[in-house]
Amino acid sequence: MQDCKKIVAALQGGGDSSDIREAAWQAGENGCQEAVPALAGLLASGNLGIQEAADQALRRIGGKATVEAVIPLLRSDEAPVRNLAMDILRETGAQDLPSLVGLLHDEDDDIRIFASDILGSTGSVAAVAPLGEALLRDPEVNVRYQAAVSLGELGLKDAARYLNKALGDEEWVQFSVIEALAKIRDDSSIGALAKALHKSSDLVASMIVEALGEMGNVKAVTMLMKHLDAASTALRNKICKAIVQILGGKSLKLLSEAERERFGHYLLVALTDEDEAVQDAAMTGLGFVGGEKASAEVLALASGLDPDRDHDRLVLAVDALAGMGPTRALELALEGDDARPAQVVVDVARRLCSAPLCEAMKSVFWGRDRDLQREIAQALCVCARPEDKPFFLEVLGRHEDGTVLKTALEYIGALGGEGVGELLFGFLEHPYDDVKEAALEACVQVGGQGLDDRFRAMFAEQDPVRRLMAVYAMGKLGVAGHVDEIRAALDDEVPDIRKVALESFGDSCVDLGQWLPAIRERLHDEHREVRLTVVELLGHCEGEELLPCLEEALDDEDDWVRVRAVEALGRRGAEAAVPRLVEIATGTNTLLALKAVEALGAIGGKTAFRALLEVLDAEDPELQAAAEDAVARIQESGEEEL
Amino acid sequence: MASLFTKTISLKKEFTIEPEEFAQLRDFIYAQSGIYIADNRKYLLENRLRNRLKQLNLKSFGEYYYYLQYDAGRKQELNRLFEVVTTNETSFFRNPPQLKVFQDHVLREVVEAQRKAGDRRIRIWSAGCSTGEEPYTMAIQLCEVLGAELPGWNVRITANDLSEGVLASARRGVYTEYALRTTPPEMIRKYFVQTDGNYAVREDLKKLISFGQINLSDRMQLKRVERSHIVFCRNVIIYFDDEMKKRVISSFYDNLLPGGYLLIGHSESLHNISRAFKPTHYPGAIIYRKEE
Repeated sequence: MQDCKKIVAALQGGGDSSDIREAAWQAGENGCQEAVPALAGLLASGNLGIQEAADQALRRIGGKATVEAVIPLLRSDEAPVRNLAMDILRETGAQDLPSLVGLLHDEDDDIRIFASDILGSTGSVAAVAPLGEALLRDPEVNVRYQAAVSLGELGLKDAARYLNKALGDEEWVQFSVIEALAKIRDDSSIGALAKALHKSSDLVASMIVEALGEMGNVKAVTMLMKHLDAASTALRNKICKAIVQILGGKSLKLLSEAERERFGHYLLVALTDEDEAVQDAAMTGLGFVGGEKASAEVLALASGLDPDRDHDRLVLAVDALAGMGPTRALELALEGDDARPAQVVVDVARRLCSAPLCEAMKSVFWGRDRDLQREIAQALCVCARPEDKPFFLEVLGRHEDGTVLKTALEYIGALGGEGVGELLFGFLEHPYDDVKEAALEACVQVGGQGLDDRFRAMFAEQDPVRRLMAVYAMGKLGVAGHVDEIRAALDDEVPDIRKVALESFGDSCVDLGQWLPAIRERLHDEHREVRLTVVELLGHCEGEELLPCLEEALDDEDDWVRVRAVEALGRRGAEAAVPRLVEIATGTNTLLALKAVEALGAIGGKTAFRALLEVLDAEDPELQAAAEDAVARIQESGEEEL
Repeated sequence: MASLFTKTISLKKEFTIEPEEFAQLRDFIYAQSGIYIADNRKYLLENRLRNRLKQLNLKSFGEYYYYLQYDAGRKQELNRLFEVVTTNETSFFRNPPQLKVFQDHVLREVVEAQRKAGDRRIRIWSAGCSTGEEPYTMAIQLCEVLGAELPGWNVRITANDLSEGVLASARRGVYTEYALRTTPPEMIRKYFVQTDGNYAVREDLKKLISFGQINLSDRMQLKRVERSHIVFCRNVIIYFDDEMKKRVISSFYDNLLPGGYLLIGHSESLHNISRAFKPTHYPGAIIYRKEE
C-alpha cells in the first residue's frame, strides 16, 4: 500500500512527463485502486504520452472504481476525452453494470447513446433487458438504433423478443434490428422477418432476405420460394442465394421437378449477378440442379477466375461442375484452344473419371503444353483405369518431363502386369533423383523374379546409390529371400545403406530373433542415425527377446537414442526395465526423466507407482505435470489399491 | 554420400502440429520473446519448423518443445527458433519512399535542431535490425546528410535484434548482391568494398553502429537503451499481440527524447496501439513524433 501511496504522490506531484508515465505504469502493474481518481484526471492531460499511460493503467486496474471515475468524462466537452472514456468503459464497464444501465435514463440523448454503445461491449446478459427497453421505448431514434446494434453485438437469444417487436420501427432502426437478428439467429425471428418482408421497401427486403439466408432456418424456404416470381432481378438473385445457403446443395434435389426447373432458371440468371457471393451460391445450387447449359455457364465463369486469387471460388466451381457430371460442354472445352477452360475440365475429370472425359484428355494430351500435360497425366493416374496403360507406356517412351514421368511410373507400378519390369528398371538410371525414386517404388510394387534378380546383381555394384536402391528394394520384396545381401548390407561401409538394411525388417518383423545378433551389433554403430534406427526397429517389433537390447540402448551416449529406448520400453510394457527407468526418472537429465516418467505410467506396477510419487515433488513443473499424468494413468488402469 | 534416400525414402514422415502442441510452442515463444503466433500463422510455424524436426530426428512438435527446454543444445536451438519465427526479409534501402522522408525531413530536422542547441550528438535506435541492412542504411544516410561534417559529430546507432544468428551476420557486414538490389549504384560504389563477389560495408560506417541482442518483451532491458532522437522499428511489431505492441511502443515513447521520431514498417500502424504520437503524413510514409 505504501507503494501505491508513493505512486499516487508521483501521479499528482507535477513531475516531468516521464516520471508521471512511469508512475502510471507502476499503478497499472500493481493494481493500485487508490490511484484511479488521479489516473482518471490524467485522461484529460494535454500531454498525449501521459494521457496514454493513464489510459493503459486504468484498463489494467479496472473494477467499479475505474468505471465510476471514468463515467463523468463522458460529459466532457472535448471529443477526444469522451472517446477515450468510452473506449475504456467498453473494456471495463462489465465490472459495474448498474452504473452504466443508470445512464440509459439520462436526460442527455448523447449520454444515452454512449451508454447503449458501451453496454454492447459488456458481454453481459444483464445488459439485454435495459437495452431492449431502450430499443422499444426511447424517444430518440439514434438511441434505438444504437440499442439494436448493441443487442446484436451481445448476440444473446434473450434479445430476440425485443428485436422482433422493433421490426416495425422506422427504416433507420430496421437496418440495425435486422443485422442484430441475423447475428442472434433465434428461431422466433423467422416469422417476424417473413412478416416484415411483405411490407418492406426493396432495400429492407433485401436485408431481410440476406438475414434469413445467414440464419439458415429451413422454415424460411417456402416463404422465400413464394417471393421468387414477383421479386425484382436483384432481389430474386439474393433470394436464390439465401435458399442455397439454407438448404445447402443436397436438399435442393428434394424440390419437385417443376420447382427445380424454375429454380435452375433463376440460378442461371443469378450467375451473372455482380455480387460474387451471389454467383458462388448460384454455382453451388447449379451443381445440384444442373444441366448442359448450366455446365457451360459455370465453366465459362470458372475459366475467368484467377487460380491464385480466386482459389476458393475455383474449388467451388469445380465442385459444381463435378456435381453436374460429364457434359458435352466439358468435352468441347478440352478440345478448344483456350488453356484455362481445359485446365478446369481436367480438375473436374479427375473427380468424375468418366470414360468420355478420360478419352478426350488422352486424345488432346500430346498437343497441349507441359503444365496441362502434367495435370492430365495426374488426372488419368488418379482414375487408374486399366485401359489407359498403352497411353502411359507411350508417355514413358516419349516424354522427358520428370513430373509426367513420375506420374506414369506411379500408374504403371500400381497397375503392375507382365513385361513392365524391364521398362521400370531402366528408369533407375534416370538423371533425376525423384524419377529414380518413383521408378524404385514402382519396381517394388510390380515385383517378380526378373526384377528380384536385377536388384541382387545391382547390390554388387560399386556405386553406393545403386547399392542403396538395391537394398531398399530387396528389403521391401522380403528379407527372407535376400538373407545374404541384407546381412552384407548391415555391414556396408556406407551408414545410409546400413540404416536402410535395418529398416527392411520393419515391414514384417518376421524372424527378427534369428537376426538379433547382427542387429544388436548395430547398437554400437559409430553413427547415431544407425543406432537410432536399431532402437526404432526393436521398439516397433514384438518379442520378449528384443527387450534386453532396448535396455542396452539405455546406456547409449546420445540422449535421443536413450529417449527412443525409454519410449519403446514403455510402449512394450517392459516390467523388467522398471528399475532402470526409475533410475532415469529420478535422475538429473530432465528430458530423459520426462520420457521415463511417461514410460513408467504406461508400464504401471508398484515400483513404478512409488517412484512416480517421488517425482511429483520435482522442481520442474513439466516433470511434475508428467508425473501427475502418469500416476493418473496407473490409477485409471485399475491399480488404485497401490 | 548425400543420399537421395536419406531425404526421401527413409524420412518420408510429414509432421503436422497438433493443437495442444501448437499452444505449447506458441506460449513458449511468447514467454521467451513476446512474439505471438496467431492461429492463422500456425501453418507457417509448422512449415518452417518441419525441417528442424527432421534434422534433429524428432518425432513430433511436442518433442521439439521438450528439446527447447531440456536438450543440451537448447540455447542454440532457441536462437534458431527465433530465426524461424521472425522472417528476416530485408535489404539495404528497403522502402525508398520512407527512407527519403527519413533523410530529407527527419534526419535534417534532427541535425538542424541539434546544431541550434549546440549539441552535436545524434542517437538512433534500430530495434529489430535483423542482418544489419537497416542500421547500415541509416548510417549511409547520416553520412550523406552530414557530409564532411561527420567527424565533428558524436553519432551512434544502437542496433538490436532478438536473434544472435542475425546479429553475427550484421557484425560481419558482408552482403550479397541480392541484399543491395534496392540500393542506388552510387551508394554501393561509395560505401561498400567488393570482396570475392560480395560487398563489405566500409569500416568507418561500421564504427557508427553498436550491435547487441535485445528481447523487446523485456521492459527493463529496453529501459537501459540510451535515449534516442529516432527509433526505427520496422516489420517487428507485426509479430506481437496487441498487449505486447502497446508495451513495446510505450517503451519506444519513453526512450525517445522530446520531439523524437518513431518509424515503423509501411504495413504497420499504431491504430488502436498508441495515441501518444503525433502522426505526420508524407507521400509513401507516416512518421510518428513525440511531443516536444
